[in-house]
Amino acid sequence: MMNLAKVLAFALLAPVVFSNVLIAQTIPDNPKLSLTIKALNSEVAQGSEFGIAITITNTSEESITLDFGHYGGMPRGYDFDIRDEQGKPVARYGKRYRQLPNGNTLQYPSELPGSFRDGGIQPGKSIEQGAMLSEVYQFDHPGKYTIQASRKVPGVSVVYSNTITITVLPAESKSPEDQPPAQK
Amino acid sequence: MSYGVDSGYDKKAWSAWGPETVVPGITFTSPTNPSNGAYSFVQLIAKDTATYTQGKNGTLSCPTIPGLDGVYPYPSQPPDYAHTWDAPAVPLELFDSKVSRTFKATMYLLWTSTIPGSIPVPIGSQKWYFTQASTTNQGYPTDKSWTTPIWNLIGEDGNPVDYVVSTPSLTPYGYPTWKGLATDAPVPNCPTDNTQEDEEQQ
Repeated sequence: MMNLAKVLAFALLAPVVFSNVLIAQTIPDNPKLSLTIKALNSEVAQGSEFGIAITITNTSEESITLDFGHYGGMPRGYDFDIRDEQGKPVARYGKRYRQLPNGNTLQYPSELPGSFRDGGIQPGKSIEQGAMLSEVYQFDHPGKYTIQASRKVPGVSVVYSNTITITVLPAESKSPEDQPPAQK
Repeated sequence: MSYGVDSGYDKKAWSAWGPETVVPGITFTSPTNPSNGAYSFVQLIAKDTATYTQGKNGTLSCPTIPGLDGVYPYPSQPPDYAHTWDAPAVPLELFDSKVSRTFKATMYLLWTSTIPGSIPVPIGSQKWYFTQASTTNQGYPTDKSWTTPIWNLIGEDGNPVDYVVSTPSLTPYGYPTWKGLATDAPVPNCPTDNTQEDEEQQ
């Protein structure tokens, strides 16, 4: 009976205890880095600017040098899997992308201004990068969107982040973060 | 902290779009005095405007809202992690007759004690800028044949410039603060603005 209670307690607590582990995902053959993403605002009005913060942590015991270039509000080296409530991938064209009559998209300028840079991450340290997703992706209807980031590190495998959900509200609404404080 | 121009607008960066070919446009270093603590950097962008001229079709000017330069802390270089660099660039297009960029930023140097629980404290900063760094496409509109970029950066290659010690009587003083990432201003379609160049010259 005592053993059963322990099993039940473990089963109930495991999701809580290990949730932090699940947030920062690594893959077994590449434990050198972990990626964690968080939304700067969990609710945003359609058409407004919004981004996420990506925390990249060196979980190895050696320094790792990475590309930290940043262009047009977006960091280099990442891929983003963004889907709407129906699981449909979000189109990758933001305000600087134009849809041509033939259905193709054109970005002008084709590359955005930014900075070349690289840098190291010491063992156990993290660096946080911002990614203005609204610059590149088309959140064109209200609803919930899931976002996952990934990064391919040269010579090793792809590292995936946790998946977060943001809610895009109708354009005329304001996210709670944008509301003025209540008057007393 | 001192900084020096290593190469200006790096020619390789203009012809190839990848960090493996880049020579730093500017390098920031930390004090050489022995320290048990660790240095870190934060860069805030005060102004960043890329301007694309398309011959007689006018000029497309794309400003940026000031803020954090994309990353915190600003990545530094191993093994000592006491220096870093930046190499702002602007893309080239066949149909641009001229591209230019104005960039103004402040690099902050912070130091963290080795005492457990310590937080970074600002010890200095360095404002730096270039104004209307530009190049002209001599092959416009059918080819790309770029003139040597005019960098317009303060200082000359290798010049060390003393940093501003963080003291109440000097600005900027204290911690770097920002409201968000430096990102493109929400200007629909990045509109044509033929007055931008003139405004920047003032």
